Order: sequence, then C-alpha cells, then structure tokens
Amino acid sequence: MHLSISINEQELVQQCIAGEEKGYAMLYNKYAKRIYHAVLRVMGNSAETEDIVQEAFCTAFEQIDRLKNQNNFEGWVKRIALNQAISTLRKKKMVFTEDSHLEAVADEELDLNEEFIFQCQVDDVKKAIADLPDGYRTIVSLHLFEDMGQEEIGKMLGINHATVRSQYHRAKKKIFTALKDKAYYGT
Amino acid sequence: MERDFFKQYIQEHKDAFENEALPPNMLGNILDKLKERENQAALEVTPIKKLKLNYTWLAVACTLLIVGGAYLFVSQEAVDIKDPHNLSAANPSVKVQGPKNTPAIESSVQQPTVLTATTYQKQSAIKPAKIDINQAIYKGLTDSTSVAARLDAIIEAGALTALNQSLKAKLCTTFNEDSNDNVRLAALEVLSKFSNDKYVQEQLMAGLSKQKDPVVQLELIKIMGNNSSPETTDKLIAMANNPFTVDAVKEQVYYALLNNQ
Repeated sequence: MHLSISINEQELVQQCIAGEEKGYAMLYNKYAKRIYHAVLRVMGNSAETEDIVQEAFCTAFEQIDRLKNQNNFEGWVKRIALNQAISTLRKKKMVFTEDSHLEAVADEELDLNEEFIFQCQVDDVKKAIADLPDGYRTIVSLHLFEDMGQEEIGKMLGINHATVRSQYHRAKKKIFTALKDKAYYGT
Repeated sequence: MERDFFKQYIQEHKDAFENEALPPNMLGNILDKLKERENQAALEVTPIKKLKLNYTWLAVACTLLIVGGAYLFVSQEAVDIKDPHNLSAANPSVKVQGPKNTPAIESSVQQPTVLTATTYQKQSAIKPAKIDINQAIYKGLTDSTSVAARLDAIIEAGALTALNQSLKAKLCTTFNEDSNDNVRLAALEVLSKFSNDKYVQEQLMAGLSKQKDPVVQLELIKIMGNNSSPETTDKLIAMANNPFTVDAVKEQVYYALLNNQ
C-alpha cells in the first residue's frame, strides 16, 4: 500500500510561523536546490553561494509572518537570495553597465542558426554560460532560467531594459561562438 | 514575438542544468543561525531593563548629590557670614571680597585632583585598544556556518609571518577536518609556509593518510614530496598502493618517491 502525505505550502508556512522545525525543514528540502542553483549561476562560485542561500532562508524564516502570498514561498526566498547575490556582486565593484550603444547589435549581428543549440551537450552549454563575464551571466541566468522579462531584470539591476536586451543578445552570441569553437556548429 | 531557441533549449533541459548536489549541512546551519538569533533577540531585552534600572539609580544618585551639595553650600555660607577668613581657608581658589576693612584674599591654585585626571587621560592615551589579530582569525576559523568566513580567516592567517600555537593547531584541524575542500586547500597553502615547524610537519604528514580529495592530495604531495623521512615514504607508498587513489595522484606519488631516492 502506498501512503502519501500531501501538505500544501500554506500549511508549511503556518508551521514555520508557529516555529515548528519540521515546517522549516520541509520548505527547505522542497526549494533549496532550485534556489541554490539560481544563486550559483549568478555568483559563479560555491562558497559565496552557500552563504547567500543560508542567509536568504534565515531571513525568510524570520520574517515569514510578513509573507503575503503564502503559496509563493519559493518566489519570495529566491528573490531575497538573488537580490543579495546582485548586491554582493556590486560590493565587488561589478557594474551592470548602461551601454545603450550596444542596442544596435541586437539581432542583425546574430546571424547564427540558433537551432544548432539542440545538438549541444548540456555540460558544454553550462560551461559556456559559466565562462561569461559576471554581468552577461547574470542577465542570461535571470532571463533564461528564472524566466524574468527584460523590464524586470532592468529594474533589478538598475539599468535600462534596452541595455538588458542588447547584453542578452551579446551574451547569447558569445555562448554560441564558444559552442561553435567546440565544433558543434555546422561547418 | 521572435522564437528564442536558446531559451527553449534551456527550459527543456532545466533539470540537467541543476544536477549538482547541495552543500552538506546547510539546513543544520540555517536552523542553528535561527536559534542563535532568537537567543540574541531574547538577550537584547535584558540589557534594556538593566539600563532602565541604571538610569533610575543614576537619577537617585544625582538627586542625592545635588541635595548634599546644596546643603553643604548653604551651611558653608552660614559659616562664611560669621567668619569670612574661614572661606579662604576652605576654598583657596575663590577670591573673596571681605568686609570693607578686610583686604581681598587671593591664594595660589593648587589642584591635585586635576593632575590626577590628566595623568589618567595620558595613561588611557598610552594604552589604545589593541585588537588581537590571532584571536580574530581563530574566531573566523571556528565559524562553522560560513565557508567564506573561514576562507577569509585563512587568507588573513596567510599574511602573518608567525602563528601562535593555538592558531597553528586550529589551522591544522581545519586542514584535516573541514568539510569544505576549498577551505582545506587554502589551509594547506598557508600551512605550507610554516612546513619547517615540527608540529605543522607532523600534521601535514597525518594529512597524507587523511585527505581524500585528489586536488588536496596533489598539493600535499607536492609539499611533502621533498621530505625523505621514512614515515613520509611509507605513507606515500600506502597512497600509491591504495586502489581508491586517483591515477593523477598516484603519478605524483611515484614522482615524489623517485625524487627522494
């Protein structure tokens, strides 16, 4: 006989508000991995990622009674963690540049056949993304993995949405070029 | 809107992009931090009560002082009216205009209490708060919740020219027992600076059989490779014979053994 216990997110949040350790553990186990990877993609190194994720969960658990939408705990913690990651990058003097002249780059320059990406190995794509400069990597991660729009990313990073767009295209071009160099691209 | 094949690719393979395991004991660290903060918050309430109590006593003390001072002043004045010379004896710094037939009395100022205060000020200026860097590094190394804090502490230790015994022992423990490979590797790098020290050398030698991470093993062999003591050689041979030792590490072991012959 298969027994399944289904506790919805709202109940878990209520357990956390009541200070029950079980609630903390279940919410952590449910979302930690996705949040860890989201931060790792932005930060690029595991030591700082670990600290940021721990701090984000601590902050979230401490202030959980302020969570308005109790069915969106993951989105809330992820936002706390990503904001912290971006703030850490800023402290390291990383600047999300307002290079509006790059807007012209956009699609015209990107004359690669994008469909070739489906022939690529995940590990190679992962490495190509990881090798991007911090700014490009952040934008690519937020847009592709967190499904954030250009406007939202622009607000988060404090830059124009057009800049986000142009930097995304540049980053994509860099990734494709790197993959092409690995002889995936049809020659 | 234009179709983004790259985004489509990422969405289709998202799970494969997130296949790395979480660092161990993150939940434990989070729960510990939460408890620590709760305790801190509870402790912060007590000093406020103490502070209130202190203010009350301070207010009482001030009131008593003022009342006492006023009483002394009034009683002194009563005496002065009777005998103005008495005032000059009691308070030599005050210039008193006596009755018409009495000349103004002015005496030299002699304030031993002022001298004492100055001396105290000088003494406190001579002794500035000295921050013990060794203690700060030791504290950083014991922070089990933050890898970055431990790495920072190790980097600071690396900048020191000498280590005290407790810091040396803590670094060795970190090198042999820390759960994070990067931390152990960084500790090794710092310890290699002090590899002439007997204690450090013993701990590094112990590491030859304790360390399981190939990167740490490689670095350790590079450092200990020049040591031709029989014990080191035995441990290197044991590493070479261990079926779980990675090939690259074995090669480094053979290289070290050949060089020591």
